[in-house]
Amino acid sequence: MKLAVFLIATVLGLALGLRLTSPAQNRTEATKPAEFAAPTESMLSFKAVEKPLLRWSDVESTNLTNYVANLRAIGCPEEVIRDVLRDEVKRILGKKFALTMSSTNVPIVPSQRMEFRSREHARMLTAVDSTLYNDLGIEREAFDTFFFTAAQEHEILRANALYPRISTDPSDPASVEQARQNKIARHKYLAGFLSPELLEYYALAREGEAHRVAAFLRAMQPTQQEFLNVFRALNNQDATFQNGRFSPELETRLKAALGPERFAKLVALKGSD
Amino acid sequence: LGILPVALAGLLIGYVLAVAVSSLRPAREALSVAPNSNEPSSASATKEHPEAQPMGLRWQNIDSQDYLQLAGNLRAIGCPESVITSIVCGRVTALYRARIEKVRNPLAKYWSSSVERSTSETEVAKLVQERDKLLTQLGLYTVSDSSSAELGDEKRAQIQQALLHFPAQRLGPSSTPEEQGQARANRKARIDYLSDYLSPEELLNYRMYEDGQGHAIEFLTRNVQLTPEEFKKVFLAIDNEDLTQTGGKLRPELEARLKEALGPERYGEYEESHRINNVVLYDFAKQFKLTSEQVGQLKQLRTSFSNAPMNRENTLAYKDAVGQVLKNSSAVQRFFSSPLFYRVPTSSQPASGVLPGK
Repeated sequence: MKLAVFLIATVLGLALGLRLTSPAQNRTEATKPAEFAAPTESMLSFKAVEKPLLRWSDVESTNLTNYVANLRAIGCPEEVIRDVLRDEVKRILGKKFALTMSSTNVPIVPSQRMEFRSREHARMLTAVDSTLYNDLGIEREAFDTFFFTAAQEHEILRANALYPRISTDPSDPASVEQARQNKIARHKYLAGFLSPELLEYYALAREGEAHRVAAFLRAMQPTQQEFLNVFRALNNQDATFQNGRFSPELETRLKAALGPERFAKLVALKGSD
Repeated sequence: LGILPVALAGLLIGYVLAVAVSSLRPAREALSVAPNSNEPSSASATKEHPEAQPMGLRWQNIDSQDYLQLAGNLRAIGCPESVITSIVCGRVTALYRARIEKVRNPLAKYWSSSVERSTSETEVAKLVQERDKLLTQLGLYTVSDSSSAELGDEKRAQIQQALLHFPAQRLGPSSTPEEQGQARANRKARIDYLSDYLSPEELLNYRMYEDGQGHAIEFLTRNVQLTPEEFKKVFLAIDNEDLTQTGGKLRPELEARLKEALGPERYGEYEESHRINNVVLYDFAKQFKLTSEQVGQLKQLRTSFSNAPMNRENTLAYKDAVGQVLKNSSAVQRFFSSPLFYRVPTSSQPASGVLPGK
């Protein structure tokens, strides 16, 4: 009899204990993250983590700052945090984008609709980036590219954060000067991390110099070497072509860069423009 | 009375045992993941997580270089599928992005030949294909976040399912008729599948903008300025068909459908716009951003000049009049660079060619 009572009591105790210590997942169903309407202030303000993180449901949070903190607390690498939060923020901001795309003023003709959608989508992505990198302080991604290593890309990101590109207003000389100063500062900063050759590729590929050289050499179909030589020749030079001539200094530099024959072709092409 | 202490002792022992078991459970759950499965298997997991900690989640205990293992580990700790997709997809995408970046020289377009550019593009396309194949194999292929955004997550998930079951095939100029036929059959199957989930209007939009020949049909009718309603009618009439043209015409059955959709008058305009000299004139107009008024004036001048005797005086007058209309010396130079622009052939032939289609 006593043995039976003991066994029943043990089973009851076991059941009670298991119920009281059951995993968070089972007990937090009711507090699952609600659907986001938009990344509001309350989703971004930090609230201290108080409970142990045993299941994913303990890690995720409708408060994005907490979500990031929880992911960091379990040792999640930055790239995983970025992937998770990017999709989360996209999901939130995507609702507004979806609303815009379902409005009646979206063009019917495919190419116009695509243009409209691309514009709206780009606006959404800018907002996503701002939330991730400015509001949540997540590190921007840097990876190996054709010219640069991930570490060099990281420094390029840093240069752009320290001395940002600013949109210039041609009628405001101060903004033009500020943009110029920032560009020089980026170059100086990166000179500490990139070789002279890589600095040239940086200027060409990331600072719009290649586009400038290509416009200058329009219809010349240059070789890689000619293109690079002309880029160097144009450095700090006034590229105006007037009355069939460049400035004497630029003419000398371009002749050296292209050779006399190709220089003559350039002059002929400029003349026919 | 003797029973009460026994019962209490039993209760206490049971409770202590339960608490002890529970404290071990989270670590065991984070550990116990069988490869390619949602079911726990402590044997395989012990090998996967040698440094597991008994208390709390640690990423190092969840992470794996094997994508399926990683997904399984995440599932085992209750991670929602959408987050698993973000993590695994993010990892695959990052891997391929790095590989693509290594072959794509951003400056090559300024000095490479078209053959060199094409070689590099082919290499990039191969990597993209390889990435998409891997994502599809992992069951993670996702439609882009801008596509069909207005439909919401659930319907977009169905689109994803449709694409997984009946994949869209990229067609090129070298695609065989069989490949083209297969691509059309798959598309038809996707649309049939989606008709159970999307409203007729949603399905039409999906067909026109995401998964159909909307762009090819826009190209076909580009010089007749269709109204939105006309565009829809034309689309419904000839979508998912072979839009190859012979002598400027689609196959007779499709031409008949097009005529019915547009009505005789508008179809006449469409036919007129397809004459070779008009096709080149409209493309010229697009290139130099001419207004429809300018195009009309050029057409009139061209007809008058073509009917007038060809002599120096008439030619100069023609050039002068075109210059007045275009007000752009490069455009005038281009216009007079080929008789296709400045003359109406005696028997105006319709344009021929193959339209870009899916």
